[in-house]
Amino acid sequence: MQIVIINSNATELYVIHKILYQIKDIIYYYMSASENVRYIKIQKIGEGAYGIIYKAQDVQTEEIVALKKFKLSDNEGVPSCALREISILNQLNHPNIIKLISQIIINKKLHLVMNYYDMDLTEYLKFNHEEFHLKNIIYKILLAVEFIHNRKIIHRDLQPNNILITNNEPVLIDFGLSRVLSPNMTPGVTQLWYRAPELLSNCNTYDYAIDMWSLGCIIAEIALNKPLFMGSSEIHQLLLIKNIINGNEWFLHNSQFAKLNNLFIDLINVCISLEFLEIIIS
Amino acid sequence: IQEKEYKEDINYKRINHLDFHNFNQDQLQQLIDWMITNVKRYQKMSYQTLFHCVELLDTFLCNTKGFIADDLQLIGSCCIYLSSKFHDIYPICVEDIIIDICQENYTIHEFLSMEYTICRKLQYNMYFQTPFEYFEKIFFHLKPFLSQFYQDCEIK
Repeated sequence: MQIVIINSNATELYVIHKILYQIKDIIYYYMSASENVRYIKIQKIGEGAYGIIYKAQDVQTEEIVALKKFKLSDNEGVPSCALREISILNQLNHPNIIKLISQIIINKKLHLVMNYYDMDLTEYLKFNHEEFHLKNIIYKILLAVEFIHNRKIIHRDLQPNNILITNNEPVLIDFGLSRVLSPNMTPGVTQLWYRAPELLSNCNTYDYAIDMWSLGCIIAEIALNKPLFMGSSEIHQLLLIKNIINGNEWFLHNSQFAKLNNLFIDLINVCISLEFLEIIIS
Repeated sequence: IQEKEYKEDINYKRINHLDFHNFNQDQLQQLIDWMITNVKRYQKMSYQTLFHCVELLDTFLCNTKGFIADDLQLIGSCCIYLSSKFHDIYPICVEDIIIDICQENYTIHEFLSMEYTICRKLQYNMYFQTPFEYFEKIFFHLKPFLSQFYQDCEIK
């Protein structure tokens, strides 16, 4: 909107500006009302601390999409997790990372429009698959995480529920907790079974290593068909991790790993490196 | 691939936005000084927040037209609030910013609607490469040389 007014006082200008802002707000409110009709909600899929996810259909193209609704509070404006998620997702353009189609406002609430996939990694592992497909999935997930880390971004919520699968190709979703690397961050992130030891001991200064830890857990889960550490509380989780401290010996004695290749065990071992833990205990 | 992205970064829309607005350079300078002093006063905010909010102000003014000098304080404080949300663990409250930093010149409703217009104009793209990150990277690589340099100085 361009305004050219010559030879007028600053106060007059200011009043005109205020009125124009109000008109703008009204126009945008009606524009968002027209977009309201574009997506029809079919059913609720999931719910979290950040908001609710719906399955919906696009009226114009008859395409099925996923709508992510954020809980907006009146006296805080745009929520910080929404800000981080949108600005990070706009940066990432990769076949194994979910694409953000658009962001719209329905009834004064912020919605994200994304592609819809129906298969989860946990559901996918319930059936038997060829070894070739599983290897491909592991490789693609590693590529996607490398791509994220190169942009100085930490995902912070890697778990099998956040990896969707279409045609034997993985897609990373849910960047609600992810953020740009900085010296101070909150320790209470990631699901308990995939949480790294530095997070369990309430450390403020961590880096990309926490993502690698949960990746190692996921790779082991793909191979064994069940989660690696199943702790019931934070202390139980730490005790389970303590068993692994001798590294290779633990893997050799455990009968679960007998069928696996040595190189594969090395890969898991590198992801779940215990340098940090040894410092704590000594 | 990286070279291409670097070129796109350089060709990013950088115009002299002073031609499209109704204020002069001194007023903009005053605003940035005022923002820096206010961000420094709050101990919780990091240096990343400071650089990010100035960058945010710059890109917002590049993409809009026709603001006057009285609006500048509102835009600046909104930029501080947004970047604090983006980078800090515990972002500052709206009331803190309105009472302490703006000295109650604006109501909450005006403040939130301005924040909303900034978000919509930039289409929620808040991820910028700030000079701070370049400095961080350069000094990270220079660290062994610097420590050696200081050791040599001590001996002399």
